[in-house]
Amino acid sequence: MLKKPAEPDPQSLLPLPVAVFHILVALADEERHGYAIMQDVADRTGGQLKLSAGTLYGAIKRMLEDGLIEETPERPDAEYDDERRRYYRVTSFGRKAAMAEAARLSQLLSRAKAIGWLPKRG
Amino acid sequence: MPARVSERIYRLLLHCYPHDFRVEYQPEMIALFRRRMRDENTAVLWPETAAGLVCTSLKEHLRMSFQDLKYALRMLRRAPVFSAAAVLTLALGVGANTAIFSVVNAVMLQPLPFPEPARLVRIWETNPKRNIQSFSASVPNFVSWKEQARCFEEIGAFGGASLNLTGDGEPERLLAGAIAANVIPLLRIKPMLGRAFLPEEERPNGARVTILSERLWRRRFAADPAIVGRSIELNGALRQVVGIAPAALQFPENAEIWVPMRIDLARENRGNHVISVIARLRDGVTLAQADSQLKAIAAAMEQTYPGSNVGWSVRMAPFYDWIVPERIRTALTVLFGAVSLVPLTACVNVANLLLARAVSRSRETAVRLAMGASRRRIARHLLTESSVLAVLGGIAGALLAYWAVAGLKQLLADSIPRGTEIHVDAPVLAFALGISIVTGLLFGIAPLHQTAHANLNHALKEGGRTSTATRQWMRQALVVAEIAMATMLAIGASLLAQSFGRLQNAQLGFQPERLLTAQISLPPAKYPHAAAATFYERLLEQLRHAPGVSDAAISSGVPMGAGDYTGMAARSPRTTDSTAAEMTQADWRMVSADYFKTMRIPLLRGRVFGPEDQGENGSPIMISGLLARRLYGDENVVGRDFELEIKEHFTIVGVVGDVRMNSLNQEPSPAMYFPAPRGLWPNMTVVLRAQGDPLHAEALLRSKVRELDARQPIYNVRSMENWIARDGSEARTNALLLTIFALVALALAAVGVYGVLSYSVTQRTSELGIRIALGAHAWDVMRLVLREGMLLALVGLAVGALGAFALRRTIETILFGVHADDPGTFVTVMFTLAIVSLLACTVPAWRAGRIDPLLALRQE
Repeated sequence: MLKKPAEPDPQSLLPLPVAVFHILVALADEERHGYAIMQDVADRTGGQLKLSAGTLYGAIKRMLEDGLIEETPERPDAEYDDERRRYYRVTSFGRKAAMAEAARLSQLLSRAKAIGWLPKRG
Repeated sequence: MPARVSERIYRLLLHCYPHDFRVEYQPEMIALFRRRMRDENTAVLWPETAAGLVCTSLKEHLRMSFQDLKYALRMLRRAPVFSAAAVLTLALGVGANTAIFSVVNAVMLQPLPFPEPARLVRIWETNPKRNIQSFSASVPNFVSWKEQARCFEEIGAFGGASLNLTGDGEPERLLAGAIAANVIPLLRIKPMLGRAFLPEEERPNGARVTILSERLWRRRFAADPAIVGRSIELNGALRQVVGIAPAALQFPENAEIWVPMRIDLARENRGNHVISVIARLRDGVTLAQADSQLKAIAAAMEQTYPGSNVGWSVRMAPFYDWIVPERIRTALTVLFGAVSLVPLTACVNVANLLLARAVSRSRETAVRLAMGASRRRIARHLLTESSVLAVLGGIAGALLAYWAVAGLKQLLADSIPRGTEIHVDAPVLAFALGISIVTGLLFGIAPLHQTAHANLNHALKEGGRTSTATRQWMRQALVVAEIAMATMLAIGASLLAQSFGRLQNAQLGFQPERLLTAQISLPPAKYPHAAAATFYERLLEQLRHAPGVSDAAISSGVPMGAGDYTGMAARSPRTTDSTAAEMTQADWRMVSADYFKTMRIPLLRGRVFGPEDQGENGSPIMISGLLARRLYGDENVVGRDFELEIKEHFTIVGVVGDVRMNSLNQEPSPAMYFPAPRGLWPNMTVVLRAQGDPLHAEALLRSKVRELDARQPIYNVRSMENWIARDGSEARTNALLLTIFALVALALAAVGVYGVLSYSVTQRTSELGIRIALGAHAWDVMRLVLREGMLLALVGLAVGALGAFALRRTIETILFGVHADDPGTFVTVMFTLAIVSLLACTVPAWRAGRIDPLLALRQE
């Protein structure tokens, strides 16, 4: 039987795949269903990153397996129609992993800044 | 596109994803698609969706396979004994089969190294009335065929010869061929360097030229291209090298050098059958057409040349049938058939192991099913597991085959045609891969079938024991099949081993121990007859008095060995009828006086040759007992007149014992002996009986020859026992191989019986425990288990014996002195296998007898 490790080290998952990090960010403040995640990512990146359905659900599947996110009970999407949707939210482990990834990126950015590779803000 | 149609297409496309993924996310993905349809431009949506679909579905599949692989490896690592047993079993099966396939591939499947080989034929003269099936042709007959037959594009001929190469380095005697100028163009092979012979070089006074084989060129001349155009010394005369021939020019077999065949009809005799004829059929002409045309020509020649050609016809066969005779093909087919049973047996065993494992894992499976894993996913796991086993087994098997092929090549290179071509190549590896895949699929299906029908409740409730009647039946059938296969192989191996034993004990008619033989060919130009006679007389004189030699003699050929084997017909004095039917074909040899003493061939009547027979007076002959009986019945033949078909007359001076001449498995043939060195053949064999190891006498022989002529090589130096071993090598190889396979199959079958019974005992622990608790003796329980196992064994033995009986015709042709349905063999083999099965049953039975009833009941 496959056993889930008790409390894995978030560092072991780094670097997070781009799609995974984006999904975690999208779920940071609220539970969302798949389409909402996709839209949020697209909006935040100005339409540059559009997750395909396969990429989205493939990533969701893996994130569920890794314990980064969890499913909440199905419920209708109030905003659009009464179809029942699956909603996802970040777990505490997912939050730790996202923070670790953010720290990693930030470190990388400060290096880039130090050597002058970061454009000055307008 | 209407939204409804788009959605339907999308729904269909989702089938690209793995089943589990689709089940999980299909509704979500369709909802998402619907939403995007509403919000976005279809012209953008579709290409994006399609591209995403292709990439991600592929990714999901790979990811899943990788997971399955990881899972499978983990499961296999967790059961190291099972995994090792399965992989080794498969490796044995794949390895054995691949190794034999490499032989079949080289000998029977690879095309001959000539373009359009199907049009190449070998032509023999035949004389059905004298029971001669395949005989050499005479040069004048060949020339007549060449002039008259229209069915051939080319018809050529070759003859054997031997040449002494002298000049630089050690003198060396070479197997040579005298070939017609058109032989190389007829075969459509291209000289590696230089050219083929020219038609004018066939003429009696044509240029003195020669062609070297690639082997000789590399061995003796260090592959120097400048050798072409230079002259080398052959039989004491210079010949110009005009070309280097590739390895495909194998006529006669093992020839290393060729000279043009000189055709001088003025000096040829139509009744002298000395050359081998080959031809290429004209495009569109069938073998049957060519055969009937040439037969008609031969029939006409019987009228034209009654003196030499009456009774003689022709026969032709495709090159392939000539080079790989039917006997070899049968032997290989039997071997291949037998060895094909080995992977089958291995397959059955692994299926059995997997099955037993699947049953013991059925609780785990049930739990996974209960937790929501799909049957499909579990089936995928099982298939991955069996594929991993198959691949590992295949790799190990290919390695095994690689080593086995090296061994086989050594074993077979001399004993079967094209044996030197045996090697592992792409087709052989593809074959190994093929059988690994097939076996993997075959044994993977059994546990799959079981999982598909696993009853969840049953499995969970029963605490892991789910032995239903059907599955029991299936496992038992597998074991029965294993024992049946082992029985068939063991019967075959036993028959071949007995056959080989009989061959070894065949009455030879002489004593081979401590005999050394070597061939000498004195070049006629350097040694005219008288000089050659003196050479041999002096050599024998020296050898006789040498230390460590008890006897020495010369002969034109020794039994089983190299030399001249032609026969002649002798006329029975009891009839006046001179038709061919009254002739008796007999082998003839030229032998020196001490030949019979040296060989220990008994003198039955009269005397052996003496000095009085060496002069020009009289025409003495000695004959074998068999020939004496055939021609004269029981009369005393010493001093009687003896007439050959060619009308020459001799006086019989002695009768000697019969000798197996050509092969261990051929009855002694009638023989006649003429005195040497009064008569000499270009190649003579020296035979000497040593006082110790005959091979130690080789140096002595070489030095004695060198003392007489430092430029004279000797060759084919072998002990007589070596010649005999070579003759029996095919039988030995067959017996050895089949014995190995039978042992492997027997081991597999024993493991099979053991596995199934052990499993059965585990399954019945509580039942047996209750029996013991209720007062049954340990012995009663053991008997129960033994009975179950032996019943299977006996059914398997019976099926195997029937199978062997059904296949008896296949093996009959390669047996000597033992029948394929020999009851003694059947009974002995079955008895032995029954004992082995009984032993395999003992351990599980013993275990059953020691079941602690309390412990067994507590497990419930």
